[in-house]
Amino acid sequence: MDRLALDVRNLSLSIQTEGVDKSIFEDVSFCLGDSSLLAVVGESGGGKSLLCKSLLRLIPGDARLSGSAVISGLQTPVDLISCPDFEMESVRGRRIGMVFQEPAASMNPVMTCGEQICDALPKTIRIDRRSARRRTTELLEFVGFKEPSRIARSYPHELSGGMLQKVATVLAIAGEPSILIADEPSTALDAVNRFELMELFQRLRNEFGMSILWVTHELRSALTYADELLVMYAGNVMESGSAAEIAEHPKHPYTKALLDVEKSFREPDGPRPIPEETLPVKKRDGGCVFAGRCEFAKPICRNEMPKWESDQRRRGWRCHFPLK
Amino acid sequence: MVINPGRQILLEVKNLTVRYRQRNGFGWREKTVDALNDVSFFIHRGETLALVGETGSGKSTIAMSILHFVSPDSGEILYSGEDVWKFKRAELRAYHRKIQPVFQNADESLNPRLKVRSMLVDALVPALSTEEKNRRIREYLSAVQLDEDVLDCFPHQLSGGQKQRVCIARALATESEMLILDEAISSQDLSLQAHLLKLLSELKKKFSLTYLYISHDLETVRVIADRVGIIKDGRLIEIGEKDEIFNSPEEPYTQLLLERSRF
Repeated sequence: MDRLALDVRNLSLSIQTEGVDKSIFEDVSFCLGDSSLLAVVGESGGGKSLLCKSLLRLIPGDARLSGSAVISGLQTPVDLISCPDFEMESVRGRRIGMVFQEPAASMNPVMTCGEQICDALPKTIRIDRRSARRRTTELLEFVGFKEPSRIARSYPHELSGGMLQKVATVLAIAGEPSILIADEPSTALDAVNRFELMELFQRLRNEFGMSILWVTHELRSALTYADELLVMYAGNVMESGSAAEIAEHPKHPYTKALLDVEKSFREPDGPRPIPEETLPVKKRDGGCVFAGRCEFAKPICRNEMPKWESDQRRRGWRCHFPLK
Repeated sequence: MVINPGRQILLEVKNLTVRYRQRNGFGWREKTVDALNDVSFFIHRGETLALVGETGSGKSTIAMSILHFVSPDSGEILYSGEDVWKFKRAELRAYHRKIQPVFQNADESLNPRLKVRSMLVDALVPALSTEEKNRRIREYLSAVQLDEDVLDCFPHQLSGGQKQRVCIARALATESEMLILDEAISSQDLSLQAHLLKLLSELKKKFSLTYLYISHDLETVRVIADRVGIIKDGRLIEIGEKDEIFNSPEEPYTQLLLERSRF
């Protein structure tokens, strides 16, 4: 990872509810390398989805966002957090594309897939109808459709979930962005379609040099496909580093707990959940946010928030007693 | 298919075919789409049958037909030997109390304007006294491991896992015999899935329930199912005991599904 596509520093988001500031995530920093795949892993309520939306500034008006997130790449660098709204318009879809969990919800039900893709193409291609059609067919072929013109003529409700998610991916990449943000794109898909979608992401990196920020709650598949990992819990980054190292030696008890849950699905006694129910991002009273569910928690964990520590190889963790 | 003579068949689906008719925008041309094509299976009392297939394969249409929401073009659905689609109004009401669905999206299944208490009361048999109703509500809540505090909450005040448990409690409150779990835990994260799977198997024992478990995810099916059916493009391509399907699948699609499985 030599060139950076996206550099996020100290990003925090809080939303006012009933007059009280509620922190959604705090002090999130990470780098997305050029044509690399970064996976953000964690349970629901951890602030992953809002992190994605904050990068595109698709958050409610009364939310307070601070920190910086600079996209560089080939064009001029832009800070996504402080740039004016009109500049953001040219970033969304053109420099950053996004795929959501529910493909049907991100499409227009009364337009054919082809029309929607044509609309998302850059103006230079869209100017001529024939070249727009050709490009649409090319893109549909690229994501693995054997009959691209039939897909282009179909309405979203005529396609299956796996096909729709591929069309949604085409919509996201039609504007030729350099960064793709995918928020749980494979959660609603079955094993075969999930595999195909992840293969497609790999090809986007290799052939288009796209950098991908991928949000998922499946640690195992994140470790398989991603270069780098960011483990989040209740709005805090718990651990980050290269996927290979985290797979070998998770430093944070939360990472280990997630790995254990996945393993337990295959065990004869049945799956073992992480103790205690997941609460939505809860109010902090000073201690580590994971202390209540941690099997290694000591008194200090409940009183003092551990500091972010890191070593030379860009491996970081937030724990008083990191695992060996 | 061998029908075990020692066990009672609760639900039987015979040659079920459902076609959806689509018209184009002006209502001129009509075309039909085969949602289900000659699907037959049965469920023993006290068993968990899992149906696996991708989105759009027809899994949910099966659930909808069993629930008497989508009428079949041909075929029969027999519940304890009686044809569901020949039920009169009163019989249908009784049937809908015995068979209850739990859907994927708890937000859409819960009325946002009602508190949890009134949703559960509505599901109970109306003839009960108030004390009896309160007692039962507490019983069902503790069965799904929820605190009594949630009774006075609106759905938006609960977390995803709590909402899904309210849905399950409501399904139990009608004294149901069978639950149709249509992707009921699919969108939750893994730890919560583990939690709910455990809960479901406890409830099954406690209330002697029968489950029809519909999912796209083989990993949870491996945990919960007794028998597994694989659906592709509206056809039931393979059905058998869990171990048979997982250890020696016959259809290429099943083999592919297992191969691409996420762990």
